[in-house]
Amino acid sequence: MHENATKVGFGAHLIGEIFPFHLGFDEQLRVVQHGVGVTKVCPDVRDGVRFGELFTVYRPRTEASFADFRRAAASTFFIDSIATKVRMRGQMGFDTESGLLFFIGTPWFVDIDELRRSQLGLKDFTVHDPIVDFLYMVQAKTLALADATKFSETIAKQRDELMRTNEELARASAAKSQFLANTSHELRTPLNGIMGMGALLQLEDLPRHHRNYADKIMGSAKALLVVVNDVLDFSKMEAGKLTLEPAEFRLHELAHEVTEVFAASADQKGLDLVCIVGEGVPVRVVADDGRFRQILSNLLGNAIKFTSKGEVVLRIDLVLERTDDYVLRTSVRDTGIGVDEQGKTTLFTPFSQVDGSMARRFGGTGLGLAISKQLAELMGGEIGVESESGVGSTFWFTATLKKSAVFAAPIVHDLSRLYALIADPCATSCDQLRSLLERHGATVDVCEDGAEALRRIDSALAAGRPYDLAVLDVRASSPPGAHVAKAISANPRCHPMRTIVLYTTAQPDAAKMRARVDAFVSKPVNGRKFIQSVARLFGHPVADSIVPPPTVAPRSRSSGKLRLTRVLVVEDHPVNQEVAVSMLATLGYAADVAANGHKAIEAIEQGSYFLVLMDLQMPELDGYAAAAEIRRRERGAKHIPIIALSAHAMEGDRAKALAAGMDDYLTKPVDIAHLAYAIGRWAPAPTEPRPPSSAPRRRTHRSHDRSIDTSVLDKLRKYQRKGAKNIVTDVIEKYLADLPERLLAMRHAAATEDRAGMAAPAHALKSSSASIGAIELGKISAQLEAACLVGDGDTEVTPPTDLVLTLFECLEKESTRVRADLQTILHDQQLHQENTE
Amino acid sequence: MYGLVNAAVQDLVVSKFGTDKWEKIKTKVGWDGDSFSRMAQYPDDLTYKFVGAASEVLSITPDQVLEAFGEYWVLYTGQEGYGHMFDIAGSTLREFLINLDSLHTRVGQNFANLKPPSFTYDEVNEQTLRMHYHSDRKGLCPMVSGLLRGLSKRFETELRIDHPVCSRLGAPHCEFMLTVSGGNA
Repeated sequence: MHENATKVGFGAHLIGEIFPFHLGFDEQLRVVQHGVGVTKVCPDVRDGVRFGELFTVYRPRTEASFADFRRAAASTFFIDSIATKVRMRGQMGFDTESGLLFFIGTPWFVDIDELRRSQLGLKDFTVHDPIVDFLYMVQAKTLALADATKFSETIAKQRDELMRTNEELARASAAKSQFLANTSHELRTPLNGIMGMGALLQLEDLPRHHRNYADKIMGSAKALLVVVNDVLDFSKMEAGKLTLEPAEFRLHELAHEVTEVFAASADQKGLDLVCIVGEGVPVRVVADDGRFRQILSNLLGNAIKFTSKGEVVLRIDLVLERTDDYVLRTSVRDTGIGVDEQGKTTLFTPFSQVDGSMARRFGGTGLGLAISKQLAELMGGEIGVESESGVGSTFWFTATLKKSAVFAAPIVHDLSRLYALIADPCATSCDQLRSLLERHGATVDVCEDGAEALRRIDSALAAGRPYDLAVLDVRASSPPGAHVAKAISANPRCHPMRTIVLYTTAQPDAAKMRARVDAFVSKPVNGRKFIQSVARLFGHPVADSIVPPPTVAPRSRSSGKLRLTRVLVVEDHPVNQEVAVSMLATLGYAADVAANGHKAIEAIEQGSYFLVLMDLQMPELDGYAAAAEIRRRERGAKHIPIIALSAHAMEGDRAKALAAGMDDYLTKPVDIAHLAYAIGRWAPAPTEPRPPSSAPRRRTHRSHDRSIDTSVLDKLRKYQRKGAKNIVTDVIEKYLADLPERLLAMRHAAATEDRAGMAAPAHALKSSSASIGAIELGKISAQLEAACLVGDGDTEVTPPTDLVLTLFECLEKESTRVRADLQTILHDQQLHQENTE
Repeated sequence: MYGLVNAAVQDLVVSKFGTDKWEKIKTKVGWDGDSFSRMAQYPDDLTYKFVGAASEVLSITPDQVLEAFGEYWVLYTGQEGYGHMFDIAGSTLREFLINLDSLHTRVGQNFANLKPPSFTYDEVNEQTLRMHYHSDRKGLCPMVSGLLRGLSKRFETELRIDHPVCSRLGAPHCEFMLTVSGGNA
């Protein structure tokens, strides 16, 4: 606008329309004009009334005078109606033309309801006045705030509910875990009775169908024990109490032992089971061997369960070696049904099997993999699966295992001059054996069937470079490996060649093959033992394969001078008392029973026991307190070995038992072989053994230097019929004819440390020896059989090989005595007969 | 569409037909919230889905749903903190109708992205107004009929509503003939 342009002010009516809330004052601050809106909020406004009678000034802080108002014209004015308390917001302006002071403003509300209460409406406000819009906005924000408050209150309420629910769930979960732990404990107690009595029953000389029943009872009980253990582990896992108890162990042995456990079930399904320990995998490590074994068992068990043909391969490889530890990757590959993508997501979740029908078809708790996952994680590793439906799966886990203080370097034999042929229908097994032999420098050919093996042997002979060694799987077909072995035996040109026959438990007659076989090796092949067998055949010195016990030496053994022979069984449960006493009797130990800790202390004060088996949970005085009291009274003067027997199997039980002064720890159900081993560690061999239950129980009168209880033979004579062949002579002759074959089979098995191969002839010898009065030999056979059977399940303690070998040595010695004595008896018998004739 | 609209749909269904029906409608729509934030923006599509689902679940036509909603909207907003806004927009039905456009305009300026409809009038005679209804959203005219019916109840004034021109029949916008008789007109 130009400066000299005519400027036009508001006319009186226009100012009223545009500013309905305006007031005009003269120099005495008397109202001279006002807008129509003003009287709506301040009805007492009239011309001529002074400002001070109508309003107070809230802001600015100034006197209500014309001059002061003029001076503060630029300020924001808030004036309050004295009559209605309505506040108006606006500004003062002095009109030089009229000499009047104007207040231009609008009622000031912060809540739309105040506007309504003042009976104002939209129509009372001009379009340029934003107060209504402001109030709308405030209202909208108030509503939004109310919504937000409501939401936040809802969230707070939900959070409280969630926390309450969480607490309730935690309580319920803790109660469930405790319930599971208690139930599992309660289940283990009767299971101990079933398995203990079952094991004793199995040692009896039973008719075939009764043996079948007994075996099935034991099989079912063992399966039940797996479930109970799974549930117990799961409850520990839930309670965060699943922890590891590291100890030093031999990893290669453990892998092969676990594989051997599954050999029979793999054989029954016609599966090839192979255990491969990769190059560089340490021999000795420090970790929780029981838990490591548990993961292996779980993965192998699943693989065999879900595979109907083909192979299952356990493989351990070294991933990384660091200053203090190793990282290992263990995998179990199968050619089974496989898992689809969806199945993989739930596999490691508790109680999940790939689908419900799996549980019906294959059984199992669905806890095994979840527990394995937790264990692998505790070992600083992880678990996973690669799988294709219908093709197979590879389950793997990694674990960090500490180095042992003792470094055991793998033994390397120089087999560089060895030229070997392997005939095995299982390609993986061929690869394993080839790689083992090649690792030691040998040159190796492989083939799958017998005919090919014979061809190769012939052509090698023809070429002037014959094989030094043939490794034949008895299953190699057309012709079978056994026939190949016989053909080799029959061919004198082959005689410089050594033969090793591989067999599985599915071919139990392998050991009886009428062929010149240098060694039998049972499958799954234990790589270390296989190489040792080969090395022995070729005259290489083999380091002593006897494994010392993995744990520390016993603190003391009972003095040999005293020759104490009784064991005190401290146990409150009548069936378990009987189980323990019967097992001890079978092992040749006499026992007394104390039903609680107090009675045990009294019995020890009065009696002479060389060992105590101590139940942990008993009325009145429990095992821990009793052991502590026994140690207190001993005052270090003597030390009676105490072995804890616990059905509790909870975390820390072992540590608690050892802390209470006990020397060893066994979990129920107690395996007779574990018991034999544990007692063997802490006590001398029994001196006045009770015969095994299959032998006559009455006290015998055998002369101390003879191995035969003749009263047994006397009993037999009662059945002698006139005219018939002398019954005693007949029985002894049959026994003497059978004995060498049994010993040979055991010797073969002993050469390869094949425990299963030793157990069967030991079992046969146990019964037959008892029936001709060779009581001691029968007893040693029973102990050997028991020791050989360890490892076919939930082992806590595995007897070292030396126990088996020592027993076998005793057995051989005793058998020599028996043979000599029987021959003397036969001789006497014949003389007697001749004399009577 | 502001959450207020969806909240009103929810309130209408729950109060007139029960929670079960509302749960069914929610399931059909695939909405798993418990309530709506009244001043938050929701996609228009969601509101249309609610109308479609309500029509199926309540076995009435979508037009009937919209009309019922329009009528309920007046009652609902009157209760849900907008009563005072209504109060200051007019003390008679006629005054309110005249201010309806101004009300929407002012509210529209205060909320981001609100696309309020517009209502303008031709005065046919003292009793009758021709209302021109413009909206960016198509097909909601049955809701306007319901809205007018709701206002007639609020101001206790009989109102005859004719809808001679409809955008759904090809017209550029809808026209309503509103004839006030009796009451506060």
